[in-house]
Amino acid sequence: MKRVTRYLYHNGLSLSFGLFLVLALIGQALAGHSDFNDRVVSAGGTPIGLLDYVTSSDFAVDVAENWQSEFLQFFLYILLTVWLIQLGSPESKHPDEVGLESDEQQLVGRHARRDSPAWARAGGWRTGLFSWSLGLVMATFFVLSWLAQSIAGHSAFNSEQLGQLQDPVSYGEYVISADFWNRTLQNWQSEFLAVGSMAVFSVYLRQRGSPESKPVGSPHATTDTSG
Amino acid sequence: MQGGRNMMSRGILIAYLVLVVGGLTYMIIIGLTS
Repeated sequence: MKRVTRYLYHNGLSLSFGLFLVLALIGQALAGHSDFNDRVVSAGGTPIGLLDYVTSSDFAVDVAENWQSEFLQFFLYILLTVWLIQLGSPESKHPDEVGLESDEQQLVGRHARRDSPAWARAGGWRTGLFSWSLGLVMATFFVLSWLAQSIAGHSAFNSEQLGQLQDPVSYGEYVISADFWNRTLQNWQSEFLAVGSMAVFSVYLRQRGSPESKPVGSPHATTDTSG
Repeated sequence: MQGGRNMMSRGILIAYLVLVVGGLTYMIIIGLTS
């Protein structure tokens, strides 16, 4: 296999999703621009160009509200699966493995292997930080995305208020407003449904060959195996 | 995963981080300036 082909083959999952993201964002920009102008025109305003739309707070808040809920979903799933189990789910641990597990099980400190990451072996704050790095990064991106949603949403909301000759609201008023929480919760509910469905469906249903599923012939009661 | 480590790409990790951090910065700046 050629070097480039091998690179694409070995990184297909992350490269594919990166490509899907770019294509979906372009699609969102085009559809969102058209929808925005429809509303502007029907309200008697002047349509704006695509560049003006993708640099507007209307576009930014729509992107940010979806980002925050995705990062929240993964942060919660990563963290809650440390302590909560779902018997029969390939995503869940066994009941006797609940919690942070021993250093031996986690290959840290003196239990680290020769090829373990350096910070797993280092001990002290470095091993502590590295042990939580995946959850911490997801949590950080969630908080920043939610912050971006609130800032862009505040700006978009006030543009609409001014367009309707109504008073703008302060940032503090916006983050307790119905608009902010409607945008937030409509995204959260869909993420919770998807994750809950995955945890339950994967107990009884199979996808042959997927590491997200148990092997087809694995019993429903079997927890923590992927095929 | 024998031989897998060499093919694991830090380039893609960095690209994703740049995308997310850049995207968030972009959205915050737009929100603050528009």
